[in-house]
Amino acid sequence: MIFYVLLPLILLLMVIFQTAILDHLFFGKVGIELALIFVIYAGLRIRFLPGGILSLIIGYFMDCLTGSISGLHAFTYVVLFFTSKFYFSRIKADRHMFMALFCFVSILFEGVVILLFYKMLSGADVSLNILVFTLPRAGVGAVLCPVLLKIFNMAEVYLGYGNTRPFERA
Amino acid sequence: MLFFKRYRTIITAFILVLIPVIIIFYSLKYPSASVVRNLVMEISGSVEFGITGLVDGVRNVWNRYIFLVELEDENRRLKEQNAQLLGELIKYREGYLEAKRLQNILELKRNTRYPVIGAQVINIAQASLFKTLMINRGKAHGLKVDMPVIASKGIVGRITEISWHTARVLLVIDVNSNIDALIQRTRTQGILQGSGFKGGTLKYVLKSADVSLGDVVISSGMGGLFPKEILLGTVKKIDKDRSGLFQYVEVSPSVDFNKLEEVLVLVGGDKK
Repeated sequence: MIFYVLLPLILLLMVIFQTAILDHLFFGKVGIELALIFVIYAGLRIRFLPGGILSLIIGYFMDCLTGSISGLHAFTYVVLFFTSKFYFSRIKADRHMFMALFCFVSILFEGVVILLFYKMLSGADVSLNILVFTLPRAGVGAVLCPVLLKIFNMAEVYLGYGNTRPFERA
Repeated sequence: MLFFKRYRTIITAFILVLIPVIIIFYSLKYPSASVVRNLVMEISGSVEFGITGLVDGVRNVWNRYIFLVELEDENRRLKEQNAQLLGELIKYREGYLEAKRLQNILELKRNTRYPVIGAQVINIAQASLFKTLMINRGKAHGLKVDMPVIASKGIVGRITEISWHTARVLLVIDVNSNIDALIQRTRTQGILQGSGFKGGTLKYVLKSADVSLGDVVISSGMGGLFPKEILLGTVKKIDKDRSGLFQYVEVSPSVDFNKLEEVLVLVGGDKK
């Protein structure tokens, strides 16, 4: 129980890590979608309700820290969590290629949703941003996804709430 | 109830998707930040402040390191430049001093009644038993053995050995050097014999002769080797208490052999 209480705080630190430290490390040139990959991990490992709530929380944190409209990332992450759950319930989840592919599509989806939302809201055509901004992030995320999922799994095991078994259907 | 149980998953998913949609609409309607959002921003602000401080610290250390590396490069470059400029300065200073010395020699050459040949000192052997020096002129330039060698401040010595392009000069301070000399003030005559590091002693000066400290000693012109009235040195010590007929007169040479660089060789005969 304490795990689920502490988890939001850990997630907040992770989002801060993503938005502050990683940006500093890579001089704002390359973004690593740590939070989104965690949502994918949640889809793999965490049960339906807690995973959905955690995705909602982490998405909300992202909204707070990126300055976007509240709920936008939360909505995207919840949708991606359920998609992830559905996807990995039908595909052998310990294949790195599938994970990387799913991660790539998820980051693109997130970018498209945000861009469409802003286009709807302000009428601005920011489709070029998908090419120059979202595509590289999706590429980097896809490459790092299997490694990060492994790290998340190790962290879960270290905290005593998981096991070292290959990813399996939750 | 059964409906909820059967479609629990779908209902949960629907609610979880609906919540952010409601939040979006709520945010659009009431743009001012909520308490939760403020709280999250507050926490992240504190953490980011710490992180930024840390990152800035690391960056400053790095920049400082880079600065120091650049400073080191610049320091090295400036040192090289300094050494180069110092070399040039030394060269110019040498040129200036050489010009001054040559000017003195030229002056001497003008004032000398005898034809002279200028020569450069290429080696000086004062530390050895024989006090000699080498000059860069020889037979090819018309020099001969026993020709007198002078400098701006007086007699240096005479040529004892000669080759085609070099000559060895026996200095007046060498024990083998004997020059007929006069005390300028009293015209007292004597033989100036070299005595190594002490300079020279004026021999055969009677005890009754008037000699004082600081008296100038010049060549007498007798003996046919050295011309008359060229400076040899000054009296620095007198001792009349010694046994015998003569007094002891020690003479300090006028020429500083340690600083000798250019000399003139008197090639004989009057200047036309």
